[in-house]
Amino acid sequence: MIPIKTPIKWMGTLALVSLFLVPTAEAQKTKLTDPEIASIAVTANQIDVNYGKIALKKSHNADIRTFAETMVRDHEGVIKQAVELANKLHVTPKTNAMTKSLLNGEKKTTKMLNSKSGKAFDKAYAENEAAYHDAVISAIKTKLIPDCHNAELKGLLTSVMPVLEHHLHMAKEMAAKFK
Amino acid sequence: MPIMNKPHLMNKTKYTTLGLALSAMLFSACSGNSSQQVAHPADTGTTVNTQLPAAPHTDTIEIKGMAFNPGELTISKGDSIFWINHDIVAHNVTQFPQGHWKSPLLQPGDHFIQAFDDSASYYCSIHPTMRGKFLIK
Ligand SMILES: [Cu+2]
Repeated sequence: MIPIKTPIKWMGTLALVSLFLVPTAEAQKTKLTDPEIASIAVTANQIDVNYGKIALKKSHNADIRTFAETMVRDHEGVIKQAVELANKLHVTPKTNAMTKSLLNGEKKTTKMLNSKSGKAFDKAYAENEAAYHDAVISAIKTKLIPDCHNAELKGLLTSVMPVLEHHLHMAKEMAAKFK
Repeated sequence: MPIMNKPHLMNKTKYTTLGLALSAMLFSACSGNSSQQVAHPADTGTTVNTQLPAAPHTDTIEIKGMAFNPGELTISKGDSIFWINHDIVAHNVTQFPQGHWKSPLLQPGDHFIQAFDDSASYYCSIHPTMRGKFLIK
């Protein structure tokens, strides 16, 4: 692992993204159900697919494009596995406060990304990817996995972690290049 | 940066094809029968007795949790390696660093088998922190 200095600039983005993901004290007390967890998992992955597609539309930077392609492929892969498992378990994803909060965050971030172009876009995309993966990792670790009832669903969430950690590592490296 | 596949390098005949690797597996599976004479797959036209040197062997490497497991392996010349993707995302197996040989994209559940005469390092070109190597005894 290559040590990366705390990228102060994307800490601001992190704080913003965290608002949408880190559950409040009240939400922390209320346990999520498995259908709610399935909805959050699918939504969180779909949002990063969508960000990746924006990058593929807007960026001309080869590193950004390669990274975005990986995000689209990996997160679509995770969604496919999650949907197959939910079907098998007869779990119907249920929209909840956290799903809505994620989608609100996506709306704002999409607007922000669409307002930028060139190097400013690449930088904003890379920083947001780092912040977003960081926030999703902590939400899965501190809320989704502990609240999950079904062992197979918990297993899926657990196996997503190394994928997200890898993406975070790559995103941090990329964000550092645009400082 | 991921290493691009260099098409002209794919012509190298050093690495046996999947078909040959499979027939080698079949061959080694049959060689337990001592009364049988079998054709050597690499040497058509002649038959050999089953008094053979060690039959080609196949080792398995599992791809899981964004890693190759085992990450290091020692094999005999001509042995095959069978990579199976038990992860939740697609990966590939690419010779490191030049990309002399490369598996197709392996979706979860997909596998790739190849026989080797030389040691090599490899990685997943999609997730470049995933590395592995094998050494010829
Ligand atoms: Cu990979």
